[in-house]
Amino acid sequence: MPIIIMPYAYGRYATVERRAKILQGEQYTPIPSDVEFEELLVHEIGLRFPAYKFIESRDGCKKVLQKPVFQLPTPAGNLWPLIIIEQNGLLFLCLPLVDVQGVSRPPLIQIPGISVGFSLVLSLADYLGPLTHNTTETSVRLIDAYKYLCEAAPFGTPLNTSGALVHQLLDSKPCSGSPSLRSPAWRPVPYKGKPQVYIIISEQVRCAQYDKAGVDDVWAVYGTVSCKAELNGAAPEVSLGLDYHRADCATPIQDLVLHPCAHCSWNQTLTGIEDSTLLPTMVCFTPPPEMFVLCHYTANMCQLPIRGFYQMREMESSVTIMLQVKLNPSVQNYFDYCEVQMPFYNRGEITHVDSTVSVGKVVTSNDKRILVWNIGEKFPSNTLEASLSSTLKFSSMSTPSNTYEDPFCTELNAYAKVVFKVSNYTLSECWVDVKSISISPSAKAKVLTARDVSSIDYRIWNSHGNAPIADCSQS
Amino acid sequence: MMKYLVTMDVPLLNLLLMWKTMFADDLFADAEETYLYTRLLRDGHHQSLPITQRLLCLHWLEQFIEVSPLAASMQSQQHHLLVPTALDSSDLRLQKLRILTACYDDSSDVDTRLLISSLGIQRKLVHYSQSGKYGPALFRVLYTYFSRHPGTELAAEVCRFVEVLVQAEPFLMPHVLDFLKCVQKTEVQGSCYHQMLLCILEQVTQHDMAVVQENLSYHLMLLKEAAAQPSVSSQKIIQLLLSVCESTPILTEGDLLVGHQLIGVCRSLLQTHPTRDMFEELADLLHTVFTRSNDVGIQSKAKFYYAMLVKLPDSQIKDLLVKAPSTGSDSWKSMANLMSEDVSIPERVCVIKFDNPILQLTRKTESLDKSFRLAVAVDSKTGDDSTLFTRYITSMKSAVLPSIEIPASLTFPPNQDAVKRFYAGILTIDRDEDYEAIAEYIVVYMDAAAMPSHDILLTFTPLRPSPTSFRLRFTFTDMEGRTCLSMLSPFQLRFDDLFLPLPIIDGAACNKLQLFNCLWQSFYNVCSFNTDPSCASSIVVLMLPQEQMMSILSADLKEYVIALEYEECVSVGIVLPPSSHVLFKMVIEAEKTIVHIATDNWEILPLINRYLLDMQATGKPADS
Repeated sequence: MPIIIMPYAYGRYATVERRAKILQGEQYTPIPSDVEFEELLVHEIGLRFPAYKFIESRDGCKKVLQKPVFQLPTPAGNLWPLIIIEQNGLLFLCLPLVDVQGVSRPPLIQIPGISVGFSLVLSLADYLGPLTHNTTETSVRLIDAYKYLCEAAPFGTPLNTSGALVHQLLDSKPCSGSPSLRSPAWRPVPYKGKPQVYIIISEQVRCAQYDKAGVDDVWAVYGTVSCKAELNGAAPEVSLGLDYHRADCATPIQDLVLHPCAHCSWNQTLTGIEDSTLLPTMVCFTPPPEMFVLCHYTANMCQLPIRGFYQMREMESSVTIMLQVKLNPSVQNYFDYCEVQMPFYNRGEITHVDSTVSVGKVVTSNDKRILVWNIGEKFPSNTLEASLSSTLKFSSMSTPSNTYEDPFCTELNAYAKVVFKVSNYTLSECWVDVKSISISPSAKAKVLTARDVSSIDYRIWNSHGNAPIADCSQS
Repeated sequence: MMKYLVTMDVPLLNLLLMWKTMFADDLFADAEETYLYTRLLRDGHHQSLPITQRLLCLHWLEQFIEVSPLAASMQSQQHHLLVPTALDSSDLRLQKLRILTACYDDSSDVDTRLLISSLGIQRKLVHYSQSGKYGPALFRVLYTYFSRHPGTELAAEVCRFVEVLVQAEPFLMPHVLDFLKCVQKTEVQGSCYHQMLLCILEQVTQHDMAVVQENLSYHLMLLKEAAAQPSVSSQKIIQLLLSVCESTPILTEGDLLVGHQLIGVCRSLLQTHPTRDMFEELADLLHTVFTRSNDVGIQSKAKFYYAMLVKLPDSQIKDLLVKAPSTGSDSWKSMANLMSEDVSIPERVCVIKFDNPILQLTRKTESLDKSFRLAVAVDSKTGDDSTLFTRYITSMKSAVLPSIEIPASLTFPPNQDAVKRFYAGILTIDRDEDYEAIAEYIVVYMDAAAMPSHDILLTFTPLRPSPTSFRLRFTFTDMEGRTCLSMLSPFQLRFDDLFLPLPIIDGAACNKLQLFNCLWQSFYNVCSFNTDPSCASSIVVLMLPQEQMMSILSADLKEYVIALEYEECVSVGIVLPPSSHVLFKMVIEAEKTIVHIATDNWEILPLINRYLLDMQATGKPADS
């Protein structure tokens, strides 16, 4: 299972290649040299030629993509399944062993190496984090990557891929307790100290509001419950109850996916399960020593937290905008920050702004391409509404610009992006009942909880323009 | 089983799916199986998970839908999750629609209208980006629709969608033609392909000429495809081309790409359609092209096809222009191969590269006369050395010295079997900063059996006296008409290659010995008084016996020897272009030679030292 971090590191395992040769016999495709590999890869993922030019091998309509699984044609044959993920501007690649005999191209499900390799490269990407621009092949971070692979996948066989865990294993001695106190694989280093449990619920909301008849707005609320349990003992077990207080939705939390160390008890019997309404009452787990994501969930929200109307019109030499935003009364009216960003693409720089706002203040971004309305920490308590009207003028487009221009946002196609964060609150009103937390063996642990909700890509599209929606009538 | 089904661990989930495929109903209850599929569907929709993980889940789900009726019916019930939204990435939209089309049933909720309207987002992105960037994803979905449900209302709607799409966005023509080819291969009857082709052709013919001109390159792509179909009327195509030629300035503007595309359509017509059906019209078109085009290449091709049309019978034209088989036999030769009208760059390689040198450049042993003359006006009566020196140096600076010429030969290496014959070869010597640009050498034809070598005279004009390794590139056309490139082994220009003898002085009674003594005296004086920092002197002792040293002098340095001052002392004068001098006074003893060196370019002292040491090591100068 060779691991590659483009364009820096390159690791391959002779043991795995030997196994592949034996398993695949004459159908074995050798891995080319790193230089040749890089050249072939750049071609395969379509970076050699500009995107606007039609290249049949890349753009042909018959080509079936199975991202993140790719096929890399080489002079000696096809390398498949090559897993490629992009993170922090780097490509992470992994070519897992296919140990299914008798079939040249088995279904993805039947190749466990794909999911294992996928997890490995995701964990490696998280472990490395973003790299600086001056990173070279000899940089410490990339040497760390080799250390990670030695520990997480000795001889190319992934064992424990958690980045934090590998870090601990590299820094500490593994648990050497008596056989009766055997710890799970994800907890090789016991904690010694004051017992504490941190639980953080972090929720995000994405949305696209259109203000178009016959077109529904779309939004998604989702979140993660993260936990760090500093508990003594080889294998302490924690149980906690997830709760919520919403009256408007029967089951605000759904699509729960749990960390493999956790399991849960259900509030419905299996025969009564209706797809997504599965919700556990209690989640039990033996925690790993580091901060980890206990579960992901989505929330079934009936109303948007902030509803807005964005109306932009073009005059002869200027643009006028009117923006109204209203906070849902059910949402906590106290923000860490709340601002609306109105980017103007394909227009040049903003040269003149004349604005009137009911609350907050208006500034332009440093690159003079975004109008930023800082609403502040609260909406007016009596109305929960805020409005902005503004007239803008722009420089000509002839000035060269290296900044990104969204090709969709031309003329009246524009949006306003609401950026906010609220602490001690979640839209789903999901929370952890501290009293429900129990630890076994019994320990008096300090329990700290926190929760917040923030927006990601929360867009209000111009009522007078077009938007990326599936209404064929307007295309 | 349920406690594992909620895991976020991808390998564990994969394991459960493997068990499901292996044990089917023996391991999973219906409710668990339903939950399993739901889980995959909802993970594909789960905004909290990485996009790559969501894609992987949807790929897994797609595989279940293909084999499990339960999975297919369940996805139909929850199809709202598969309708792409603005919150999905382009890859997710594509994958969701692939699954959605697997649930297609025109009597259910997943009907034609839903599938076509789901393309709306991608359609808008294509429209507003005005480039092919978003085209591939859109056409992949369209082809998936078509290939999975041929002969249905959905397939017919896809055809209509493409027809409307390309009318609005002509820049998508390459995608449309690719789509058409795939449809043609998928269909047994080929009716959709022909209907679409005719419909789009009809749209183009009905366009205003200004619109046609604006997107001419795209429209010519379509015409070429249409011209290759015997069922499409050649008259319609020729009429359109004639209108284009007469009402637009494409021939006079000399757009190479468009001109070649136009010729390409003509060739397709000649290849495909009987000439009796289009003789007059095509002749008229070709005549228009070769009389009005400003581009010589296009003129000549049009004239050639015109000559074929009027002088050859139809069967011979077809034979000459027959397309090369797709298997690409090396021995295949046809006019179609040699006269390509497609000037677009092939996607993988436009030039065939050879890893090993297909030729070798070797020096020939013959030596050329390097002597040259220099006009220096010197007053012989005064015999003043300083005056001679000044005037000589002034003349040298303004004179054009002879270039360095080396006879060489291009030959096929002994074990080279890749290329045995070629024509139109060009040897390019890469530019070096110490030399003036070197002209390319043309090799008309070489054949390993009949013409195994080609003599050339390499010519170098140094800007600084510096031995250099020159990279050699050889481009040529192989017998199939393909352009090929081979890097040859570098050519080493040695230090002694740069040697020229002291000039014969014209216009003054001054022989080489006088000149040598004058230069020697001047360089030494300059060194002594430090008046010119560029002059330098040095001494090297060579452990060479007298007999060997004399042999070297008489054989290899003969041209540069000025005089035997006395029996054991030899003067050697060398000019290094563009204007440097190296002077040796060699005191030859029985077992050693003491070499006194004077030069007006101190920077070349290390090179001189290396040269003399090589001479000592090998018993002859440098590597000669």
